[in-house]
Amino acid sequence: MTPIHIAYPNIFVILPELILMCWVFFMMMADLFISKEKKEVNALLAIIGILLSAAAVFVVMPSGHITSFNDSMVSDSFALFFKLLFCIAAVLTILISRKYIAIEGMNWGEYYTLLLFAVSGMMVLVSATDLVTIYLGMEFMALTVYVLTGYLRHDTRSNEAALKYFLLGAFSSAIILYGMVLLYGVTGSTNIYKVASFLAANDNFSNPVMIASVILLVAGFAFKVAAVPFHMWAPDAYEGAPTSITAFMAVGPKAASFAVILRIFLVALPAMKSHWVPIFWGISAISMLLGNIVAVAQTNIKRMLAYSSIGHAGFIFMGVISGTKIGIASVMLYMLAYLFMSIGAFAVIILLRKTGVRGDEIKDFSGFARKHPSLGLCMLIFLVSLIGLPPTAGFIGKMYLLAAAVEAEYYYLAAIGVLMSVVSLFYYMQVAKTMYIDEEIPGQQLVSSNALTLVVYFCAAATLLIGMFPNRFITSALASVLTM
Amino acid sequence: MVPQEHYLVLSAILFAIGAIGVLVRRNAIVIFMCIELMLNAVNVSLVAFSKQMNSMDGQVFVFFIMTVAAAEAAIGLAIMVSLFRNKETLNVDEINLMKW
Amino acid sequence: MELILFYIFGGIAIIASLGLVTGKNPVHSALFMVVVFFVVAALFVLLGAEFLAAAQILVYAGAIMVLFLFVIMLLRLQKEELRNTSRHAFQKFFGIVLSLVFAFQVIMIFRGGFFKGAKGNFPPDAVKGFGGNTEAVAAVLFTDYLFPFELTSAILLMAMVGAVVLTKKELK
Repeated sequence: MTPIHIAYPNIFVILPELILMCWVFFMMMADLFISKEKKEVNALLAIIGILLSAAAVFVVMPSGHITSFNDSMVSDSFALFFKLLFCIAAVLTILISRKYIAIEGMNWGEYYTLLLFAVSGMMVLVSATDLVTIYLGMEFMALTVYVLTGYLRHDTRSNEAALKYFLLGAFSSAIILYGMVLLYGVTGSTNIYKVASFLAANDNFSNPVMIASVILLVAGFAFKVAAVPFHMWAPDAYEGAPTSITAFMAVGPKAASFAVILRIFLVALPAMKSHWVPIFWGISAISMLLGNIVAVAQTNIKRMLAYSSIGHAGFIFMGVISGTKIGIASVMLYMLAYLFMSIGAFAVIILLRKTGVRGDEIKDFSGFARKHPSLGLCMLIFLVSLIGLPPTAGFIGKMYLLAAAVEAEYYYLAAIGVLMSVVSLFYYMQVAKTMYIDEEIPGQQLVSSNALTLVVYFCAAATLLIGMFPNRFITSALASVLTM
Repeated sequence: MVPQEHYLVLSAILFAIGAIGVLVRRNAIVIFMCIELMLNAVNVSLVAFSKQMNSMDGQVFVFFIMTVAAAEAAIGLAIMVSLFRNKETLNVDEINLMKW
Repeated sequence: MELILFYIFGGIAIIASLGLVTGKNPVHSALFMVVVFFVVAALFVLLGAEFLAAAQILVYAGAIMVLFLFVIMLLRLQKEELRNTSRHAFQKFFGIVLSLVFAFQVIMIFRGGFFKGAKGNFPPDAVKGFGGNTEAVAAVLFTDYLFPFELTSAILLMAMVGAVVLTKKELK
């Protein structure tokens, strides 16, 4: 019998997620010793864990491009950029959650445990360079988010959202898996670098198995980012999930999915580019069209933001399709901009949630800005940024995506993008009109939480900052694009 | 000796049956079983590829898929139980508080 | 001989999975599912993956299906009616056609033999050198796939926490 030699792995590569997972185990233990009245301590612990993990990102950063575990994990600036983005998203989510889950009467430590698990899953996903680790990271992230979607277990809407999200998510995972298996069958390897070099060395361009594999992968990942025609779970999941989790879902898993889409299609499958580009082109175009047009008809603001996020996903695909350095950088930049404007907007929605008042209909915003001028102004900034008007982060993000599409000569797609941004003006401005012009709701009170208002102001400031001084962010995004 | 293609065809048929089941059935538990069937179909393909290419990667992949399927079953069924407590049904046509 | 066994098992797998999809009672579907799991385990044995065959029976037929049956019994599910008149009729039709086209295409594809991937390091002799299939799987699992293996432990823990969070009765 041959003895097995286990090489000592370079755990430096996975330091951020390793620290986070260890911290989660510590938190689960610590939760036992925290009395019921002091469950807020968990939020503090979770934030400390994420800050430690973010510190680890900075520790790993100077090492540059390193791989480990038989090339199944990589730590490059692309992955680290996304890991930092997840850290920011997680801290903001924890800050907006604390009061919200207390109002919902679900203030347990497990909420933060699961949130940190989701973050570590996303970190694994953006670092993964092997089909096995990609699959595991994806499932880790997805399963945690299903639970968080159904976290309000007394609320039927939350249960239903979780069930729909779960069934369609598991279905799409099976589809992605079949695509991965066919890829393995053709190339004989699960490592995406080996897949890429095999495809570059052998002509498999018209191999029908490869075409089937590409189609399955595209369909499955389109599910994950809620692009039309695989978007049907998103409005329900967004509406039913706890609002703080909706904010997180709109940013974290979406960014992670786009990161892995970039990695799979640009690193592993560049040889098949002329097969997947037309499919993504179609998905991008109809996502922008349908997402923005249906959003006009919504009366629930979470649902409206869900449809608008479908439109945004279509927009982001422009960067994927162009496949150039500037395209990748613009996807990263857009995700950063989207992080602040989206979490900010959801934080304002949470402000309206009181015991007995759900506060997520657009009409709940009546007179909001007149009563609370500064918070109203922040919401206006988020809305302007979501439309993509200057001087906000959304404008810079959209401009770069359009530039990438035009540079790669996808003029029609860019034209649809511009046109749909104009359509989005209608529904976003309808919220603004409700805030500024409609009659105030008598007796409307906001949730009093310093953390929550802090997040709103911080996000508004960040949105403006990226919008007005974009150079620094653009250079850092360009410096950390995917090396192919 | 069974040609490898036989296994792949069988796997494709099982996968398609599972996919049809997901699309036509209305009971959440049965839909979930169909998803498990799809995963099994994938596993058959993987092991067949693994044998043909003399590599163990495929078999290890199957091992991971099984583990994830177990985790998925725990969570999926927990979601269904919590829904059933509030709603007394698992028929996805009746679960329409929000539009399906 | 092997070919005959394959056709027997393959036939049972297809029949059982059709039973799973068409059965009106969820319990029947679950039992058909168990049959599929056992047959797939038998196929694994035919393919020389003994370890996976054992794991298939222990994990799928043992753990997962018991969980399914337990939940079905717990929830006292009613018989479901296959409603073809609903507004989903078009969607269903579309889905079925799409799946059939897909299956047909894949079958056509597999007849051609498009798999010329790189050969790995585990020809049957090498597997024997390790002492058998289980040892060979272990040799890969604990070296090349060490990190994914550790990651599954976190996934299982998370699933446990998640399931408890979703279903625990209130402790007041």
